[in-house]
Amino acid sequence: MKHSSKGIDKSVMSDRRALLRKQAFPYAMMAPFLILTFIFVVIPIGMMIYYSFTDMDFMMKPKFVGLANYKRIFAYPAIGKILQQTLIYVGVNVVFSVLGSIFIVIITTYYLDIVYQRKNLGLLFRIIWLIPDLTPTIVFMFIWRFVFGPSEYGLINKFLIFLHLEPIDFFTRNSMALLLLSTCLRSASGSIILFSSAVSQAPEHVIQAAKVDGASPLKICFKIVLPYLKWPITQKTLWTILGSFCAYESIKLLTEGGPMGSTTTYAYYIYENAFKYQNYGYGSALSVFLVAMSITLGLIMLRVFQVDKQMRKPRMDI
Amino acid sequence: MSEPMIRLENVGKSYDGGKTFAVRNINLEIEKGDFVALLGPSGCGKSTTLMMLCGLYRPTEGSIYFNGRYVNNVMPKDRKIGMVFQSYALYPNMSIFENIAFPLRQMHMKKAEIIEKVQHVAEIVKITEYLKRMPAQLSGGQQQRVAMCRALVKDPDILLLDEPMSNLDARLKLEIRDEIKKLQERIGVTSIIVTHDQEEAMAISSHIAVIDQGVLQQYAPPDELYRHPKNLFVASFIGNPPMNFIDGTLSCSGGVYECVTEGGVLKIPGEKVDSSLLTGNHVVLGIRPHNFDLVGGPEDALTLHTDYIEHLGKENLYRCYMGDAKLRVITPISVDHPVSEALYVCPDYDFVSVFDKETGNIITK
Amino acid sequence: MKKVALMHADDRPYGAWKYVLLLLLISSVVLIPYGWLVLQSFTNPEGFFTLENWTFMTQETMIRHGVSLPVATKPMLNSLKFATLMALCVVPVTVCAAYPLSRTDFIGRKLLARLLIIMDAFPQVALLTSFIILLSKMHLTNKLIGVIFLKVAMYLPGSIWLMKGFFDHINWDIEWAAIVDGASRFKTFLRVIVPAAKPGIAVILVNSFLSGWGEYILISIFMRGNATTMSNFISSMLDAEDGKYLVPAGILAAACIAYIVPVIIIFIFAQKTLLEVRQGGSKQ
Repeated sequence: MKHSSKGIDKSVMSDRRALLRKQAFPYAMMAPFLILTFIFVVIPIGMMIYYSFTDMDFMMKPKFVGLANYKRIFAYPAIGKILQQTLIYVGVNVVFSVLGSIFIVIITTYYLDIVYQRKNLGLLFRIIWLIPDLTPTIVFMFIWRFVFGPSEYGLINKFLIFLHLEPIDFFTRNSMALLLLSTCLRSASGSIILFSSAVSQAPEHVIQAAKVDGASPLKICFKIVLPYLKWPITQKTLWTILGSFCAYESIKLLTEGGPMGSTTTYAYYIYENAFKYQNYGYGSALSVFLVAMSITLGLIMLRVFQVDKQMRKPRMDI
Repeated sequence: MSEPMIRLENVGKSYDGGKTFAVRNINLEIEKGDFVALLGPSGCGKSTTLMMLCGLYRPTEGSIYFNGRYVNNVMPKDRKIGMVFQSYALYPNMSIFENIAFPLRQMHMKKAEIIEKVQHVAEIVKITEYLKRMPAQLSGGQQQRVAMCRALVKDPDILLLDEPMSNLDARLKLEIRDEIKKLQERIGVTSIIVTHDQEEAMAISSHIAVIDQGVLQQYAPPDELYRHPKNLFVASFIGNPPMNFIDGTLSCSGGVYECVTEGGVLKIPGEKVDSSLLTGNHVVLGIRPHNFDLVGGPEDALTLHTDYIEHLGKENLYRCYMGDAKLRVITPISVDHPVSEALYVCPDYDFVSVFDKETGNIITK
Repeated sequence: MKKVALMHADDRPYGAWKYVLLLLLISSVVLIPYGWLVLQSFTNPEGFFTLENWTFMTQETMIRHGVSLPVATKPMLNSLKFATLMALCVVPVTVCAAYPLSRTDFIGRKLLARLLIIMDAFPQVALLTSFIILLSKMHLTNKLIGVIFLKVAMYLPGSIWLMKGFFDHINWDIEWAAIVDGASRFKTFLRVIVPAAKPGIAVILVNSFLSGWGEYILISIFMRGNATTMSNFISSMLDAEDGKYLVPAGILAAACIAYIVPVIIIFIFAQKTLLEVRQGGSKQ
């Protein structure tokens, strides 16, 4: 009203500039991340899809072969066995690592810390259970060679000989069990902190009140403490499913997929094709399925973790 | 007519593309040197209004003018404002000196000048001895002073205070309140304070803007707000102990309005009521606890039954009921009325406010 | 009961020992293997105490006729270099990207958050073939920097999401104050928000360093030579064909321990940081 039209024009212009700056700043800040991701994630995904239709190998001279690689997957006789082993690997890993981790956290954080007020003891055991997660994968996997290996250095076989019993070649007879033992332990170790901090969020005065009301520690544990674990358990379960589907490093280090392919999972099969046999085209086709699975799981996570809700509006208009 | 220091014209702020309003249609003019309180219950939009004034929020509607300059899209730093936040918002990684110097450093001022300015403002607020300390080493009251310093150091045209005293204990609150008031008068800076505490607003400010549900209810000096609240919300929000509200039916006979209530009939002088504002004959009488006189009988008075008496020291507070309605009556300490007997009170008609029950607006002049 | 109360000056309930015993029993699954590893590293094949297993730290170790591993200080330093570079790449990129995601509004913000979760769930192994081809085309094979790029790119989504959570919890008041005081959004970020987010940054720093320190598979795929990093050094002691040890078991055990010790040192110094919640968990 009191402004000349010129003044209003100016303000509109500075409005537009402010809006532009508001958009430019975030993207400028994210530029390094976006560039890195584009070169080392987006391009490789494109390459993966492209090479899955070619016969790319170490000669690096790809030729278009259509769906041949995909047909080859379904024609591969051992694919059923591999999938079955993968499902066993994932299932056992999820169930035992989550249950084991809950069990340890309940005893350390709930019983020792809260019920018996032995905070130092609880912390000590939690730290012990943190060790496998902190140990470099190669060392952690090699440790099991030292435990179950041949009698020159293997602890159990040494013990068996000491008892005048036949030594057992664990690595040929029970390789899957060994693999599961080691990966479950490591995976359980990885969720100790997550679960423990959830348990310690259970309000102590509520626990005290329940105790005064005569509830047994076990009942308090189920009624008051465990509900706090609902969310972390969901989180950990989803991540363990995903992590186990995609795991290949530990398998490579402990059993190399053997003996006779008895510990080869789908992810390890991809690794073998990519690295050992250098069947890049075939490996890419295999990868496409794994990616599809991971995206499905990722979409489930978006729902479960309520990602949109976690993106609260910034409380500022600049 | 000269431009006011701050002018808000139909200012509104909505979210989700206009679905929810934090503030709507606010019109306000603030003169230079005024100390204005934005008062209202939490979530009423008073903080949003302040945030729009300082430029952190952009209004989705209307315009804001500082000294006649359109500032909707002006960055906070270019608005010549200083601000004190509820949590004081001192930068924990910087010393007190650095905290106060921070705004000056952003203006690329010379070092000597910065030191001089910080010293000067620190002397005014009396915190010179703390300049070398870190914020975590100071008490709440001291931090509050530092925040004031930081807001004042660049000689702002406008000082904005966002609930600056809500984190202090009751005694310190009074002390700091005095200090802020004196400081503001001394410097003469136009100030706006956001608060939910009506007592604080009454004590500190020259004008109060009462806001409820994003709408400006009344903008007036404190005493006018107290004596002449524009509607039921303002009437109930201002004053402690709160105003009594009595439902009644109004009828006019011979220049005198008769108001029939549960506790008796009151005669309201005709020149007080603006009958054009009346929509029906149902009204609400608003009478402050202080504005009752004890009388001998039930004629032209309200008959109350005493529930219990609070002895406040300088006066007595009678908690009464009249039918279902609960009332508070304050009497001089000399009055000693037994609880068992009925209490007859007559309001001081100069201070009776009559509200239309339908609209909630005042109909007395 | 009274007796018990007298014996324990404190009023903590008695009977924790049952749980300690149970825990000791369960924890033996962890304690015994690690204990055995330590024991092995200090014994010779005949079963007597020795320090000979540790000579790999000071002299070359022969693994085959004419093939020997270099002194272990070289792979140790390389591992340190790799982990440090990794952390130095991850921390600034993460912090810079997480800040706008948490505290600014821009077009595509929610979409980016969703993509971040999907990318975090993305399997590394699926991209191995592409990585092999990509690095060879970029002439980055057999260069540590190439591996670091890959690892950082795969690591970023998770760490950005974690860091965003830390930024979400910083009080808006100080950001507002800085803006009103005249700082730009970037300056506010640098001078006010980053200092306030130090604990979160420490978590990212320590986690990314440890992740780089322990890296095995990418290095084994993309780097040739037997001493690029400690993990490579250790795996070189193993025959690739039949999994037999090329060195006495004690030396391998000692090398494993040498590889863990820095982790333990970091743990002691960064205990608080490491005991923070690690949201999202880590993929294997």
